[in-house]
Amino acid sequence: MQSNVPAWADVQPAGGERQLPVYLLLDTSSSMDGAPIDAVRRGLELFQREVSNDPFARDVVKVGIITFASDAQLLNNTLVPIADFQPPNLVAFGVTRLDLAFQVLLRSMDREPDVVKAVKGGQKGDWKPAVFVLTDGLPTDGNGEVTDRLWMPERDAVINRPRGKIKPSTIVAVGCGPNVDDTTLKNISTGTAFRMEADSAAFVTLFQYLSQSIVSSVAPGGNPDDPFADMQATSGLIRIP
Amino acid sequence: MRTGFAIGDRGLGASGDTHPHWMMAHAEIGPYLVVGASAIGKLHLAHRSPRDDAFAVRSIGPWLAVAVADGVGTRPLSRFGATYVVESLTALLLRNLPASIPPESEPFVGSAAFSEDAAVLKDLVPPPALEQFIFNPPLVRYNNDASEASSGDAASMQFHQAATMSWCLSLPGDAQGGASQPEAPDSSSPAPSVSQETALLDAMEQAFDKTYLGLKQHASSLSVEVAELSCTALAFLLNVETGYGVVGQIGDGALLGLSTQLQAKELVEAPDAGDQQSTYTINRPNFKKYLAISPITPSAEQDFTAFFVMTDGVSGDLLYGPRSALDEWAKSIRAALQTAHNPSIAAAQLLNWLSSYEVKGSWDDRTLVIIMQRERNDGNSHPVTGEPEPARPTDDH
Repeated sequence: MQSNVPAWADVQPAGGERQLPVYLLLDTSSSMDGAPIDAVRRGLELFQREVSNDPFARDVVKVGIITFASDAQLLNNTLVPIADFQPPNLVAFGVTRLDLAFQVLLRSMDREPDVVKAVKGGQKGDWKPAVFVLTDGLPTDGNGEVTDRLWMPERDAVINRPRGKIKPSTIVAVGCGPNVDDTTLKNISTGTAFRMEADSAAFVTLFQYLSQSIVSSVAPGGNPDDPFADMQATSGLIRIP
Repeated sequence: MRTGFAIGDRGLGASGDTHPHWMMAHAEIGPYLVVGASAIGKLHLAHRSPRDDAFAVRSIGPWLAVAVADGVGTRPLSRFGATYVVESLTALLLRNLPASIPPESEPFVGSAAFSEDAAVLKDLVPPPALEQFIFNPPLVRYNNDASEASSGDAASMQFHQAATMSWCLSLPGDAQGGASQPEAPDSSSPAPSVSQETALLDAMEQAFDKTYLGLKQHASSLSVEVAELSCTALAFLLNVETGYGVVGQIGDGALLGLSTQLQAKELVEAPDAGDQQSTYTINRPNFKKYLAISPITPSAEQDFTAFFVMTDGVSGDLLYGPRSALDEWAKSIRAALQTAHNPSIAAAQLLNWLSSYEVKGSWDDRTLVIIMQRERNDGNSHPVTGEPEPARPTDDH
């Protein structure tokens, strides 16, 4: 809607649109096979519906799915507007290379149009990306050995960026099932981490939380350090202190 | 006596929260029309949260002070900071005017004009009626006819309009806009000396210093941490007779000037926090590290016909397009103001525009104060807002 005062109908702001990039880093290692991977897909469908129904978020959210197992990839090679987002078929196989997922994330954040950088006199930039990591186990190397040696520096590279480079507003880590470690999840995140069961109800709760978080994050003046810090976890999601 | 005015948002204290969702104000001073408006952002409105922006405009004699501030969204009481800051900055800017360029203070009763005009003056009264103007929030049709309200629930929305109007008597020699053929500042105006320019810069710095200190006291009086009052701060001081002035800025938002060549430029560039979701605020102890101050120095190449003072809800939609588009925006604003029948309507239309223009992802509060020259005597004719009136209505607080 433009001004309903005729004399002002021609007064148009010069800038463009701003979007909110949302990255979902999904563990598709072999341990996710079966019910968990099916629950993730259904959760993505729920996520798409809920965000698309929000009158504010639906216009600005674009989603990038980064799956990680023995390899990592950004599905569709770019981010997709939430209205056009089609939950992918996920196949669980391999080890848990979170380090590779962070590498893919970093490359995407530096690439337009995945994330648009603001340039005065040029283009309006996107909001800082929001990143969610969902995993059911501990990060490994290529041989399946649990290690912090690989993912930690890659995660730090995503967070500690040179001035002027885009970095996430937040990284929220969520661990599902019995094999997650609270300390690791906390270290993956920028402050907000949860653990949950691996059943369908828990995944519904998780993706509802993600939707609400994203809707809240587009509020003007949202906490730039951690826009989801004030979100209340719902039942089924246990916040890691 | 040189009269002045104070318009815009009022300070909020412990006695209560009276910050309106929409605010507009207007005034005339010398050759300038001043219109300001502030509109709650769409997301705030949808979530029933308050407007966090604030603006204030004050004058005394030829001096005009404007300030806008944007309360940080994550601080629920930030509007208490924003309203305090704009009130404080505008008051202190006028109070801190350097001794070398004082506001005149001849007593009204001692003026030569008094005896000559006494018979006329004693019978002056404000005008009996104002031309009706209509604010059209986006939920209501343009004609404001309830029977034709645009859509279901919106039609039942209750809007309570509240306003204060004042009239300032304009005496000969007073820069309150009383001259029938106002002279605009131009490049031939006497330039302030170097010491005067320094004094203006100092006045701006002192205004920010004292506002910071006052903000801490204000927080104490409200029994909250000063961080709860986090807000940006942009201030503008202009001598409408000479065209010289000074601007200061902490955090995002913008202070723009529109030149006679119809090019818009930023008058000052404050340090950038590095991304669009962070900003510097005046409540920080090290705020001066992020304070940028710059003089307004008209010249043949840079003679401004209009100034725009705005929060980031507006500047975020303006500064990231091509420069030419910014110029076009400034020109179209000027053209739109020219069509308004009077300052009240100009302000109402500005408020309506701020409330209704749509850009995806632009939902923040929007505040814009425009200081625009009326008719120029240098060949650039910018008639504005109809005929001059014997008395000039303002929203006064």
